[in-house]
Amino acid sequence: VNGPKTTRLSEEPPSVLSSIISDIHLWVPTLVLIAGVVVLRWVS
Amino acid sequence: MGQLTTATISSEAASSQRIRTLQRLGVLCGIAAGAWLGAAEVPTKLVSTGLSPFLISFLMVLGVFIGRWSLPAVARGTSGIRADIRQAPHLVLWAILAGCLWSVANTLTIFAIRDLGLSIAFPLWNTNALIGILWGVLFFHELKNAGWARWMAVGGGTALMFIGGMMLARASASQISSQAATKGIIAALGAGLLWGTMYIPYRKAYLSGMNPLSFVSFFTVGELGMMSALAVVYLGGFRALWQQVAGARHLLFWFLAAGFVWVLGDIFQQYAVKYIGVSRGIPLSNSNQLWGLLWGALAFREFHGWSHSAVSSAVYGSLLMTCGLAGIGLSVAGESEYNRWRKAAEREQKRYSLDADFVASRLEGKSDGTTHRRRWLDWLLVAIATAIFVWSGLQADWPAMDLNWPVVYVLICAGIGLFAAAVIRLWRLTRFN
Repeated sequence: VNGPKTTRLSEEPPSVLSSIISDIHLWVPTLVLIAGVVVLRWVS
Repeated sequence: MGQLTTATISSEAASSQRIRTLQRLGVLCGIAAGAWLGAAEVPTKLVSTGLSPFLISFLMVLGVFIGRWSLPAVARGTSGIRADIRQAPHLVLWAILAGCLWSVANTLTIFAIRDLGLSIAFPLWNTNALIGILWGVLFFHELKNAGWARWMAVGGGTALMFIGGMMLARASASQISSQAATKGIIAALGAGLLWGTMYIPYRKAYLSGMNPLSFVSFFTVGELGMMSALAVVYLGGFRALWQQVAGARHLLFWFLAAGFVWVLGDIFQQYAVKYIGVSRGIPLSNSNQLWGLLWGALAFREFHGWSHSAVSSAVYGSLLMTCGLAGIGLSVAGESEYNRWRKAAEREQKRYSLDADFVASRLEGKSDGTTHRRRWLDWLLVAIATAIFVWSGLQADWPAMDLNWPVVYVLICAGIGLFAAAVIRLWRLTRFN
């Protein structure tokens, strides 16, 4: 009952990689880029 | 206690004054961006070619690449770029992504011009301003707490610019035979979507404290990489690309020049996005259509033979665009809206554990006090860029064209005047930060 608290890990900030992967600012432009390449293939 | 209160009030007043000054700087940069992005069409107008759109885009991107490494080397030095990237290395990914978006969009515009003509395609891809406003509001709290007057000014100004653009398109379209091919319209709208979305990385970078000159250096890696991949795939391999580049050697200078001039405009556009946001910076820099018309109609004498109604449409369209410009330019963000920008910056700072002082000071265009000396690498980059332009210039064919030289001089002087005004203000206020 009086042992060390185990909440420390969950308080640590996420790594840069996981911040990048979960960032909507990355996914919206990436999806638009993929759509753009598809459109380019169609018009060319 | 009284002294402390006075000091606090005076500090807040200085901060609001600084914000207003930076916003005026952003407006000036947006207008200068329009002038130089519009002028970037001129070198390509000089050469009428039957080259592949992929080759034209690739050659322009080569010029852009040269400009994006040599100009920052002159202005800040590569050591400044390195120092910035160390502060926020994750932004390299966004810079490369934005560069890829730019390349695909630029290639789409060349297809759109081929199918629709420049005059119709231009206002269609300028819908990027509407996309930019959408992302600015959704992701970066732009125009939040702005009040209805500012919303009306920005929204109304953008609408006026759009209507003005359509009138310019109508005026020009009546002079050329063009078929509104579905593919051309899709290509132009696609380019608008890609360019509008490209401002997500821009805004993210500048809210995180990144210097625009550092950001574009990595942006262009994505730009050239993506464009090279597209050119190799669509032109039939490396050998075919090389053969086509060699075949177009006498035109290379004009495409490199177009890319270089475009970089000048784009750098101002980056500073506009930094200091007035996407929702105001992009509509302002979209005034390049107006400058493009001035160059085409007056300097290249494209007005000759136009009907009276076409000239009237062009004049009224230009006036509407100018009114839209003025509306947006005068609706600078107030303190409460600026605080929402600060919150968006705070989100980036916390998410990526950035140095809070770095983010806060860069948001206000302040340098960290470090002077970055030019090194041999900077001068080498400038020497290589100069050598490439001299070499390609010596081989270039000067096209036989009947230009209206007095107008050309006026437009060049106007461009140089805006360039000088923006550069001097940027240097004095921010040291290019």
